[in-house]
Amino acid sequence: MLLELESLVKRYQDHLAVDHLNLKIKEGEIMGLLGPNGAGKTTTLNMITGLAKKDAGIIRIFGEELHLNSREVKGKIGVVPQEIAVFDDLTAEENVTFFGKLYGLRGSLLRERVKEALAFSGLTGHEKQFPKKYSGGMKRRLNIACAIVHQPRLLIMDEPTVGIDPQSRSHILESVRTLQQKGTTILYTSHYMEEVDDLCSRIAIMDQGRIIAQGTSEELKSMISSEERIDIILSEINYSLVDEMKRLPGVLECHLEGKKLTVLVQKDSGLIGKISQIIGRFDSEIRSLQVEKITLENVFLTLTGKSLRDSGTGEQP
Amino acid sequence: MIVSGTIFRRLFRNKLSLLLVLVIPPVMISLLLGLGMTGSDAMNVGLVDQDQTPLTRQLEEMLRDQVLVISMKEEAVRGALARSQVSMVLVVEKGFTGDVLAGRQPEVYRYSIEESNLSMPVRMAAEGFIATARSQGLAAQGDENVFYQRMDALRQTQMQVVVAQADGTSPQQAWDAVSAMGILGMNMLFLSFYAAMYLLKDRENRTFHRAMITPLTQRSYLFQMITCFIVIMLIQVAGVFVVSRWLMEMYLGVNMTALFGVMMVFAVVCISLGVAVAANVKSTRHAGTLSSLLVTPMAMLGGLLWPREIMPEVLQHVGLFLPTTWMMQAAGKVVETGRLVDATWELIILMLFALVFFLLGGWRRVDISS
Repeated sequence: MLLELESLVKRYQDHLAVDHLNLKIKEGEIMGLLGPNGAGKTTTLNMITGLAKKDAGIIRIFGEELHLNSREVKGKIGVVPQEIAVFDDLTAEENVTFFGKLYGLRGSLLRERVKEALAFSGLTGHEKQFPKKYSGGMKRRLNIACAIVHQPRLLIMDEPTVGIDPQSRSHILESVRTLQQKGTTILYTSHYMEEVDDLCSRIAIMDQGRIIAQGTSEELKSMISSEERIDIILSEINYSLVDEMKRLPGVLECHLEGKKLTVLVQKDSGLIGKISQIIGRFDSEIRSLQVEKITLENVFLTLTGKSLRDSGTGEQP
Repeated sequence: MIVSGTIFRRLFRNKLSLLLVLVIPPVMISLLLGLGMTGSDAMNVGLVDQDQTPLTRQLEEMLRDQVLVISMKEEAVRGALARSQVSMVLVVEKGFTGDVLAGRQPEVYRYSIEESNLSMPVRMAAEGFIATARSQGLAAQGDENVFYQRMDALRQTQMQVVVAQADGTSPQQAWDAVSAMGILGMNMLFLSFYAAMYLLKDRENRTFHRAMITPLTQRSYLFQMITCFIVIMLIQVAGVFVVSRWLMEMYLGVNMTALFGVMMVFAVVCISLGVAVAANVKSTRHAGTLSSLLVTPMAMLGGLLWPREIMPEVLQHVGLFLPTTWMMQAAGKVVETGRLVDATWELIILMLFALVFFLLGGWRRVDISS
């Protein structure tokens, strides 16, 4: 395991921000960390990066306990913070160089890595500009360049695509995939479910300081879903077919509303063929058919009872 | 020294910083001293003449050339000092002239609430006059007529203004040097708040937190910040010294290096103040407000802008709790004697201020993320 959190605890006075949290991340994977506001995500990330002290538990990174060898461990971690944390009065190149130096890079290696990081972030040609002249997307990419200049083994990305244009977002997501292909392990948090669903090999859902579910996207979806909904638009209205549908084994519910037929079936029952045969027998045709997919958003809502984007109050620092 | 190097680059790229560090202090010094706004002539000196001889009258005339002299009786001394009517009282004992004629050190008592940078030139002038008179007394071998002839001759050649400085400078020049340090000190205070705002700005834009995620430790980050701003302050002090001494041809005391030493200690105090402010305020806006509320009163009460003696007694006492007062006292002593050792007590107090401010800056043990 590249990162192991065992029974991690963090309190802020009476508030238990992280409650005996356990999490393991394998080398080379992209782990998505989801949770509503106040779930304890940022506190957990702060403890992993050494910004906050844990009250109890173990943080093991690269097989070493963080507090025993923090300098060496921190040297192999890169962090893309939620905020754009760059110096406005330094050029993009100077910013990346500064953070490269803090990670111990010097001389020609430093120059080479700075160039690589800027190119990777799509900022070549803009390296002599000050960040205040950048667009929101370019600033976000500079934020990433500063985090990857030292080619970290573990990259922590805290909502790296907030408030940017689709082009920059797409560039960042592609960059994350490329980094993973190069062997970087990534811990990724985002409010964009589709991003996490698309990008992450495994996902952990946090609420009230604990991991309440984790697994692949499919595993999480299967946890909450034992049924599928099929929406069909018919060419002709025929109420008799509803009774016929209900007799099919595996069909849980069926109703017709105007030309829209809704059939609730058991998951993976393979009934679409039979359903279309019944419709044909009643002299109707299928104009459109849609099988509703269970999304990560549904999973999140079911498990936490909260929407990811609009939930709760702010998290403790 | 990665952090220090970056701060240098950021600071000296900013025109406002360059103005604050290098341009404003010498411009202020030349303007204020040129306009005579430092108030050295605002001092009242009491004189109790119990000898009543032509020599003591000559001493009084010499003093009148420099300050306002109030003749008084000995019993009025305490009240005049208590009411701040006078900053210093010289008591010329009966037998003063006899002692001078005999070449002996005469008894002259000096009373003041405390030694101040303003009373220094008066004391120096009086001591210079007495030393000259004693040498004339020795040369006249006790002959009163010869003695007064020699003293008259000296007066006609303007020799009555004798200063104890080895390089022949006047008390006013010494006072100007101390005043220049006051103006410089005020600029250093502003720079200390500027340093605090730099620290706060890096926290606000989260670059400080980002740096703390790297192998760099918080202690190292702060050490580099502090070192960098002390160096910047020393550049400011050196700039002022160079411009004052060689462009404005100002007198900066018997030993300029020792005066630089005093300002070095004050630079440490200023930076420690900046660290304390940065640790205890929430934003750059708060620090800006605090600088307006603190720097000017500290400068006024500490005697950076005018002599402390012209302020009510209660304010003079309040000033004792400010590092600016002790910096001015140290500067006054070092300008006069050229020896840092003479300002040991003041420098120790300044160091204690620095220690307290550093402790205030680091007393809270909280997570960096907070």
